[in-house]
Amino acid sequence: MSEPLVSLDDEIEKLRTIAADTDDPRSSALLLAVTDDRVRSALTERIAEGHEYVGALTSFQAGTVDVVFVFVRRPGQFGLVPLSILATVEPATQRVQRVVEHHYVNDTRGRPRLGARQPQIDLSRFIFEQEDLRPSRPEPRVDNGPQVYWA
Amino acid sequence: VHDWERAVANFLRYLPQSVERWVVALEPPAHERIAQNLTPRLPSAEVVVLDDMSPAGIRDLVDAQGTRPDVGFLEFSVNTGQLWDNERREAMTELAAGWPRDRVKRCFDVWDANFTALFAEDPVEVSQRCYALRDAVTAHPLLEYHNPRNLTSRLSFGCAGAAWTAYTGFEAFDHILPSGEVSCLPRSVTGRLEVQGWIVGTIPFGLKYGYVRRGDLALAFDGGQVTAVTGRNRPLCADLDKAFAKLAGLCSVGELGIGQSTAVAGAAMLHEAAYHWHERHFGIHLGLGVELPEANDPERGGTAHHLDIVLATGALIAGSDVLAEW
Repeated sequence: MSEPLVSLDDEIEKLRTIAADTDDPRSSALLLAVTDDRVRSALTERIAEGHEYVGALTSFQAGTVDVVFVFVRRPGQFGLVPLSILATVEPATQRVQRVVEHHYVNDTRGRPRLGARQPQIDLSRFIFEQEDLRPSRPEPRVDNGPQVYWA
Repeated sequence: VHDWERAVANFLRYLPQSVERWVVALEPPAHERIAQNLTPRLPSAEVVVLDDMSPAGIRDLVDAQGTRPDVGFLEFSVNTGQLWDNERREAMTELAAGWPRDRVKRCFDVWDANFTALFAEDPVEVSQRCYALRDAVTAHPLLEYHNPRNLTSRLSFGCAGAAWTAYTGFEAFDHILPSGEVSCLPRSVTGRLEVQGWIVGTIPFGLKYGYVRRGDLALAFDGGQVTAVTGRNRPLCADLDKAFAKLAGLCSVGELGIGQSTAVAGAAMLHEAAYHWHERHFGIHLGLGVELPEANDPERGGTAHHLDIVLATGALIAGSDVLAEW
């Protein structure tokens, strides 16, 4: 039991350094998730039970990040209960909103969500001229004059 | 609950009191809570779903309501990377052009999950900051950007005689919310920029790439033009190269903007993707393309596109004065 804990602690420390050194929001979300007591306890349990850790999936939703710690059984080991752990992290409050200890991984994969990046978009489709593309500001290019508030 | 109350109250301050009835465009289910919390606070509201309307229906809406001085248009929409067909695009262009801007407020990529964060700030305070900053920058012919964490990134902006404009959401011409920035057309831009932030605009770089990390992209500027694109994010560099090659006007810096919204800064990392409102992030952004009037004529090699390079961190310096640090 003590060996997995040490290993987890080491990994958390490494992750802490990486999250501090990089701007990658995935690292920050992962760190938030893994330092939550409930997640940590579930991770420790999975590791101690000898399940194989596959990796962490992060998917950005509207205002939250789902971090799924994916575990699978070793070959030949039978079981019906899902092993993966889901932590829904709220970056704005730096809190873990919810933890699902037995999570069906496919439930959160491949579903387009508001706020998620779309790395597959072909930008060539947008790189052509058309009039009035930008629903934007006019260009007064003059001083505004006195301030007027409607409020 | 308190967040919603505060955000709705802040939002309402932007709305002109001359409007007695609002046509509110929403996209369910992205805007359920906005509908629930905001529309009861409007004097009168008719909710429409533009996606469910035909192009002809959209035109009819503008014809029937756009000319009425007591009716305003409030739009919440979300960019999902879809292109409209020509007919719908033309109808949406008519919608944008047909309604006088002093009775229109448009909230691009604002939805339930980010509304309270984006409108967490009192807009009057943002406005006051914008006007104070406009007065301060007007006096300086030369501005410099540098990033204390990344000393190879430094830009100089020649701004002598440039007209600075404040966009606070309260001006009759500023109809995009959340608002809060001061901008000018710089006379010159030179230097090298390691981008750490977001690229948003008419080509959905923000949707594809989200936050651009240090080292992923560097841009060289000379004479107000982008002259080189380098970086370790090859797909991003290739997409930018493609855009610059095909849309020559996009290489021109048409805007130096200084965002003043700390609410946007607070919301900037809420989503993995980046959106139109990121340009109001506290700090500077460089607008490439359409804002430069002389670059706006496609027949002269100009473009109708616009991209904002929004910088997540850095400092804006004028001589020995630090005008902004973020």
